[in-house]
Amino acid sequence: MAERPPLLVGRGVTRYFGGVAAVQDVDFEVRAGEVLGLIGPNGAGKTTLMNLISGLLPLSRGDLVFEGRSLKGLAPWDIARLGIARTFQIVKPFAGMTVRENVAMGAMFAREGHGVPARQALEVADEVLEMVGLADRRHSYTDELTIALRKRLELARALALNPRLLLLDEVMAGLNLREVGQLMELVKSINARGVTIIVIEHVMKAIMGISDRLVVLHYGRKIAEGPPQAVAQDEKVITAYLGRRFGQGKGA
Amino acid sequence: MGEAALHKQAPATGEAPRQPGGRPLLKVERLEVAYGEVQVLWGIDMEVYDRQVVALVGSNGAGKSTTLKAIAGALRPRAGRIIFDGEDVGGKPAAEAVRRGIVLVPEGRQLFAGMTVHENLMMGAYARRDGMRAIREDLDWVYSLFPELVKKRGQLAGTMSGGEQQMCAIGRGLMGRPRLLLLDELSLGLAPVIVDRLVEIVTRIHRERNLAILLVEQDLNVALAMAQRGYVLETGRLVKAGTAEELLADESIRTAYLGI
Amino acid sequence: MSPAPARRGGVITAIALVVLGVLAALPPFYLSGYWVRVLTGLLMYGALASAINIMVGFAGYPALGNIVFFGVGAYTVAVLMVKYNTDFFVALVAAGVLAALYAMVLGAAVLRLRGAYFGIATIGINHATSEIVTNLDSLTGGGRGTIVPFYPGGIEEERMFFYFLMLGLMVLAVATVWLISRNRLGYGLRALKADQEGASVMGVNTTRYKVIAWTISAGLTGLVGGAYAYWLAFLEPPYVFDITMSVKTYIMAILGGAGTVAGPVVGAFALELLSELIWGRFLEAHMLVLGIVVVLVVLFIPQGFMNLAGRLVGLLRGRRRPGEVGADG
Repeated sequence: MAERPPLLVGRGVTRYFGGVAAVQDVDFEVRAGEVLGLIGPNGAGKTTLMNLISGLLPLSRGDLVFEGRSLKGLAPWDIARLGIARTFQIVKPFAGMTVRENVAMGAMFAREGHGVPARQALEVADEVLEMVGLADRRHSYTDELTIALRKRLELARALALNPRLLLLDEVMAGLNLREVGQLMELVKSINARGVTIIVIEHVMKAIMGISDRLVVLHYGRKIAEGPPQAVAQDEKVITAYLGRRFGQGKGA
Repeated sequence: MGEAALHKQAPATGEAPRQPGGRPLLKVERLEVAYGEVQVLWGIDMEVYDRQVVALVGSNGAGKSTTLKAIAGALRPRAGRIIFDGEDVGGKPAAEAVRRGIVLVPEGRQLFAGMTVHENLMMGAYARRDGMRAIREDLDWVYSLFPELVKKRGQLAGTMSGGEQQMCAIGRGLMGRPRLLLLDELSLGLAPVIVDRLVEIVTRIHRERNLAILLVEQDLNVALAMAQRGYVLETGRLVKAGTAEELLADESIRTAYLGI
Repeated sequence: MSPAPARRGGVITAIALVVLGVLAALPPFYLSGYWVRVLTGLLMYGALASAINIMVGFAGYPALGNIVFFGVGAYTVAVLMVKYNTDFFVALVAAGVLAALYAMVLGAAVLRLRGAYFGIATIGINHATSEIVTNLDSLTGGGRGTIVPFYPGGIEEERMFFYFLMLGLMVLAVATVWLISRNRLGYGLRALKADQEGASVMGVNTTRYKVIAWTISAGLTGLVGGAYAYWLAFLEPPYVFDITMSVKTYIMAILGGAGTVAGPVVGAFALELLSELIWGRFLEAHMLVLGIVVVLVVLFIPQGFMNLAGRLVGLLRGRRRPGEVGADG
C-alpha cells in the first residue's frame, strides 16, 4: 500500500494530571483515509489522548498538527469546525431533542464552509440518518432508543459534522455480538467514504478487524505501532497485556 | 470443554479442596450484568470450591471487575444466579454478602483516606457479631501478615504509598473474616517487587486460613502464580477455563487478550 | 413531513394569532380599571417569564437572580427621566441596552459557574446591585426612593398606555424566544443545556452562546423594568430588586414549560391569576398555599403545562406516545 499523506501528526504529546503523566512523549501519525486503532491496557492514556486531540484537554507539552495546522490552544468547537469529530464512551445524545434534531446539530455547526442554517440542517440530518440506518426513528426522542441505536445516533451526529477525521471512543461497548458486527460494517462503510478514523476499543476482535494500523499505549507511552498482526506478536505488547515473563521468548 | 472435570481437579499445591458433598462454595450460573443499558456480562458460569484460589483473567473491559462486584452484591445481575454456600445471593445488597462471608477488596483500594490504618482495619470488622476477642485475634494476625502496617497504624491511609495501601486494603478485607475473599486487580499500578510481596502474602493467607479466594488480574502471570485454577474472560464471555498450568502453557490465550 | 399539512398548520397558526391579537386588544376598552391593572401585571410577568426562559429553558442556567436586570432597567429609566429629563421611550431603550451590557460584562466570569452555583451567584449579584443602587443615593434617591415623572394624561389614557406597552413588550419577548428557537442559537443553547462538553465538540462555541443568551435575556428584562418604573411612578430598591419576584418568574417559566415558546406565558398567567385569587381568600397563608401548589405541580407535571397539553393533543390525535418503541428498537 502506497504511503498516504499524514492527516494528523502528534509530536511529543504530553499531558500531566498533577504530577502524573497520563500521556508522555507520544509521537504518532494518522494517515489520510486509514483506520488507526488505539489500544492499550487500562489506564494507558487512550481516552486522554483523544481528549487532547478533540480539545477538551490542553496539551502540557508537545504539539498536535492537523492538516498542517497546530491544534495547540484551540477550543473544542474550533477543532470541530476544522473537521475533527468525536464520539464519547458513554453515549450522551442531547436529551429533549429528537433523533433528527440531534443529528441536525452536527450539520449546523459543521466544518468551515459546510455548515448550514437550521432549516436546511434538518434535511441534511435526514440524509445522514439514512446512511446509518436510523431514518425510521428520526422523530423519536433519544431516551426511547436502545443502546445499540444510541451508538448509531452518536455516530450519525459526528458524521453530520462532515468531518475529515473521526474519533471513536469505545463505540462497541455494551453491544452483543450481532450488534458489534453491524457497527463494524457501518464503521467500514464510513471509512470507505474517505473519512479517516481513530478507534479506541476493548473489543479486541473488532478493533483488530477494522484497523489498518495500531498504536499501542502503556502507562502513557507508546510501546508499539504497526499492522495488527505484527503488533499482536510484539513482545512488549504481549507483556503489557498478559504480564511479565509471559511475553518473553514469544513471537517477534 | 470438559468443564465439570476441570473444576473438580486436584489443585497443583497438592491440597484437596474441602468439598462437603462435592458442592462448590460459590457457583455462578449464566450471570448477566449490565450498567444501565450497557451489557457487560453475557452469561458467565463459574465455580469456586472451598479453600481454592481461582483467578479470573482477561483483557481490560472484559468484565472481570464487574463479575466480582456482582458476587459481592455491589451490582444487581440482570439475569442468572449467584449461589453461595447453597443459597442464592444474587441481587441481595452488599451488606448481606458481607454478613454471609463474601468480602471484596475493590479495585483501586478505596480505603477511607481520612481514617488511619488501624481505623480502616477496624472498619473491616464492622459487620461482625462474634465479639471483640475474635476481632482482636484477627487484627493481630493481619498485623503479623503486614509488619509494614504496624509502624503505620496511626497514619492516615490516604498518605501511604500504593503498595502499603494495597496491604491495608487486603487487611481490611480479612478483618471481615471472609469465607470467600474477592481480590480486584491487586497489582494495578504497583512495582514488580511489591507485587511479588503481595503474591507471597496471598499465598500465605490461603495457607493459614480456611477461605476461598477469587482474584481478578489483568497480568496473567501474577494471577496464575497465586491461583490453582483460572477462567479467561473476553468481552463479557468465558472463553477458557483450566488449571494454572494448562492456562500458562496455552498459546491461544493471547488471542483471548489481543483478538488475533 | 409533506408541505400540505405544514402549510395548513401555518394558516391555522396565523389565524389563531390574529384572533389572539384582537382579543388582547379588547380588555382596556371593556373591563374595569382593577382588571386592566391585573391584566397589565399578567402581561408583565409573561414578558419576564419569557425572558428568563432563554436562560432556564434553553441554556439550562438557573438564573434565580435575573430580576437584577429588571432593577437596572427600572433605575435607568428613573434616573434618566428625573435627572436628565429624557423622553420616556429613549430612556426605555437605554434601560434595555444598559441591562444587556451589564449581563455581557458579568457573563464572561459568572457563566463559568454551573447549576446551583450559578443560581446562587445571580442571587448575590442581585443583592449587591441593589446595595450599590441604594448607596448611590445622590443619583438614585437611595433608600428613600425616587419619584418617576407621571404619565402625562388622564387615568383612562394612562391605563391603556401601560396595558399596550406591557402587551408590546410581552409580544417582543415571545417573538424573540420564537426566533431563537428556530435558529442556530436556539439549537446550540439546547445542546449545551443537555451536555456542554458534547455541544462543544460539535462545534458550538458554548462560551459565546451563553453570553449572548444572557445578554438577550437581560435586555428584555431591562426593558420590562424600565416600563415598570414609569408605571409605578415611585421606586425603592427593594421594589425592583425583589428576589421573590425573581423566583416567581423562574417558577413560571418551569411551570409553563421551560424551553417552549408559549409555555412561560401560560405559566405566568396561571400563577399570577392563582396568586390574585388566593390573595383574596387566604391573606395570611398566601405564600404557603402558593408554595404547596407549586410543589404539587412540580411533582405531577414536571415538564410544565405545555408538555401536558402536547401529550393530550397527541392522545387525541392517536399519535404514538413517547415510550413506545418500534419493532427493532
